[in-house]
Amino acid sequence: MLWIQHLPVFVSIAESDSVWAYPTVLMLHTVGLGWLVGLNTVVNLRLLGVGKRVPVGSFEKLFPMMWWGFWLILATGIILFCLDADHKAHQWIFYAKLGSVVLAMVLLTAERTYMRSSEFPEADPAPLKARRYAWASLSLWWIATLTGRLMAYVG
Amino acid sequence: MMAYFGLMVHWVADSHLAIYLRDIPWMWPLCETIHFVGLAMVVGIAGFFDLRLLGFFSRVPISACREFMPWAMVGFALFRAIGALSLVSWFFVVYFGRMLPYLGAAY
Repeated sequence: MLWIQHLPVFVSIAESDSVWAYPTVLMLHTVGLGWLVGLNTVVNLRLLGVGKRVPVGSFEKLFPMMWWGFWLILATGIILFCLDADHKAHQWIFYAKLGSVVLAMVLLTAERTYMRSSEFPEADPAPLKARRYAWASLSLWWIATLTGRLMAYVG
Repeated sequence: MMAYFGLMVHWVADSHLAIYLRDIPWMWPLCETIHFVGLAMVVGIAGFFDLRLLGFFSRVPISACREFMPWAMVGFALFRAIGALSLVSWFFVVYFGRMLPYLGAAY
């Protein structure tokens, strides 16, 4: 994996002192995280019964925006990986983080399908199934954040 | 002035709080995780309300969208609390001397 981080483009980003190099990539990674996880948190709170007057159908427009956040964390994440590929490729916690993000995105899609379907009872603002989805999603994002942060400490 | 700052650094760095943050291995990564969870709550919930103010999902009353905002404040409180702890953590970095070149006369 060393060859990746030895590619001229990644060497120049890693060695640059410019605030537009590494700090900006890391900042955009965090912005994407805030946007994706935060908007998903709004949906999860709604499924837990917060803001009951907001119809579940109106969150439909929010999902494409979460995907923008996802593409941003993916693009910046690939760059961050390539800057330190040999180390990160051998960190088990890195794979734990990738796995929990993938699971969280799968759950996001399942949540969207559930909220679109006629299965969601409009009379009940927070049915049991909705609350289960919400807690699973919130927990997965917490695990993803924790494992992501632990990459700086473990392995 | 810098001498007083040095005293303050020692006072904070020797506090029980700093010692907990320093000596329990998982404590700081956990704090950072809470910091990021708080950040996502502020950005996402306030962002959602901003989107409504920008005209998205305009059939939903603004007052209904506003019901999420107390949770943005919960996120902000988490974010801010850990931010305050990070000052303590920064001070213990000072204590271990990594910031020495920047402090000059304080030591």
